[in-house]
Amino acid sequence: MKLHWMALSLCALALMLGLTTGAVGFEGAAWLALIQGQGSAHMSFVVWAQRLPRLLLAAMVGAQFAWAGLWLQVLSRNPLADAGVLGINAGAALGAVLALALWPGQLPLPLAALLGGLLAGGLLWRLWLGARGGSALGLTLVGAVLAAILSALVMGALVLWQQARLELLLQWLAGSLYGRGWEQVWMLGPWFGLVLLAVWRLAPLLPLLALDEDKAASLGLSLGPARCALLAAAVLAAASAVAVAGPVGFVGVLVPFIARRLGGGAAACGWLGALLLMSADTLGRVLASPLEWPVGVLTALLGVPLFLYLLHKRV
Amino acid sequence: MSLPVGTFHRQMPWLCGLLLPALLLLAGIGIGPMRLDAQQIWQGLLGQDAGLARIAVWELRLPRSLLAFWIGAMLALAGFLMQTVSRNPLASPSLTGISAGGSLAVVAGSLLVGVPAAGLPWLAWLGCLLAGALTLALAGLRRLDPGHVVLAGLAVTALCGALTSLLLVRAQADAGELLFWLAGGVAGRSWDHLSLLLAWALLPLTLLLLTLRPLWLLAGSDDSARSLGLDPGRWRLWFLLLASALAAPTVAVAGPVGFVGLLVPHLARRLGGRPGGASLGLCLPLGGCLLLGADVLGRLLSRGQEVPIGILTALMGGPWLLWLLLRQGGRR
Repeated sequence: MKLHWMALSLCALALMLGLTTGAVGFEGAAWLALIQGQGSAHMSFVVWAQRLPRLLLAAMVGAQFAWAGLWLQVLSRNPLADAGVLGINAGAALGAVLALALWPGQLPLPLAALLGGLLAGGLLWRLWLGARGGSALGLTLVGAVLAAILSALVMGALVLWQQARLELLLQWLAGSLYGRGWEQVWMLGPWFGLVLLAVWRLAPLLPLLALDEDKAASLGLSLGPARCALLAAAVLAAASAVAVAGPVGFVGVLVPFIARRLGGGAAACGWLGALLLMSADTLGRVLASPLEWPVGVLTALLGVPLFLYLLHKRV
Repeated sequence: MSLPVGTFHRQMPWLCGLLLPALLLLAGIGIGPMRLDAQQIWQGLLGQDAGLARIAVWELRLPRSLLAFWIGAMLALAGFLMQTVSRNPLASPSLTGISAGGSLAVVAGSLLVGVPAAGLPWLAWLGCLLAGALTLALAGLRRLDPGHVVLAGLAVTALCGALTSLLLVRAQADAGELLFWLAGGVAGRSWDHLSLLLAWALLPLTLLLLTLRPLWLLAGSDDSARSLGLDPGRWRLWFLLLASALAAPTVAVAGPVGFVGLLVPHLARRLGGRPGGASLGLCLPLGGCLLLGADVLGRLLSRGQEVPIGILTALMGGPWLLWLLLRQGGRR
């Protein structure tokens, strides 16, 4: 319980840091006035309508990607797995970009992304079944190749879309929270609720899935449906997050790694994911002000070295 | 009475080498926003028609179609070299991070320094070499294990992609154009691009022809190569340098085009037998036809905007690649 309070306060700290930093600076007196409800219209807009929803979104998206990564790592039994590495992010992005390019406004984005993510997840499942008996690294390799193929398709779809606005293009290429507001928070909210439900219901399954097939069979357990449920939950978490923030990668590699170091489980992953993405987004806004670095670029710059280190360790 | 199988196999190289490219080239000239029929193509080629047909044929479609053919051929050759010397059936410019490194170098050069078009292949080669070296270094002691190399290559690709995105953020206004280039394609390329590509290809191709014998020896095993007096490590490096020298100008001219360098060597080996002169030779027309065919298809399927070549090569090469992986996994 103490851990939860500590994590909550850290997140609150990150939230406050994010609210007070940005391209537009405000003086101390202005902040005082804002808290008392007498701030200027401009300041209220920037803080409450731009920064706050964006940070809340960062927290939700970060937690979702972290949980997706945790579940995928349990499934593939190695720490290199994450929704981006295994191609689920790319599949979801493909679904969303195709919906934007071919049927703009007709299909809700989270649904299109979910369809794309399910396609990628289904392919992954089928390929994993085919690669049965392969090493854990082999499973990751299959996913990584799938990711490469789907990313090439996303790139092409972006060109087909004929979108001229850089921010939107970068969002679907790298993952970014630029211009995300309350609309996206409400869009993601219900899905986040579903993911929380999945975290709660799937928690008892995680230690079971760490058993290998023979032990499980000897205990009379059938792991197939459980594995399927875990993959579906991972796809749900990752795809709905991709729908609002684009394919932010490597969160699922970074967060479970740190959580394991700290001795935490699913709950720790959620808090850490939220913390990571809120900080990364704030950092991205600060480093190149008034331009911003997409949050996906920062997670990649942090996550790729860790990925390579973990790959190196697995001799 | 049926023809003996041998006849077909002997005629296959002629089919691939001459007939198919010629047909595709004709299709490449005829297909586009303005369809040209046979007579218009003929008149356009001869330069008799002083109108749109001649411009379309000579300024737009002929250079771009020839370019597509040559880029496919060079990428296929690069992939063949990489797969042969590293004995890794998954080696290719795109999966080992080489293409991503080359395109990062080109984007950085154009945006940060304003390098002219003629200098871009140099930059691309530098980027390709650095990315390739990074991938090999990161695969570490397991550098001859295909799986490790591909995973390291994919990480290097992700890194290069992130850095490219950062550069795009700085570019702001030119982003749409750059994105189109990043997707890979030959739209709007002219005779200048073709001459640049061919000029760059000349040296590596000549060097390759001169060092074919070590290539075949290296294709066997390291021990057999050593017993014949070759240093496998040095020759491997040589051929990887040649491969990146072949891939780099294609990246500079047409952006990173994926899956051709991976898929075509497999097809060539299927048709031409073990790594040898036949399979090497088949890479050129097969790679050329594949990319030219993809370009023509992209124009054929266009609905106001051409379907980018990257989608088509991914759709063609992707399922094959996955099947290849599964087959490999079963053998381990």
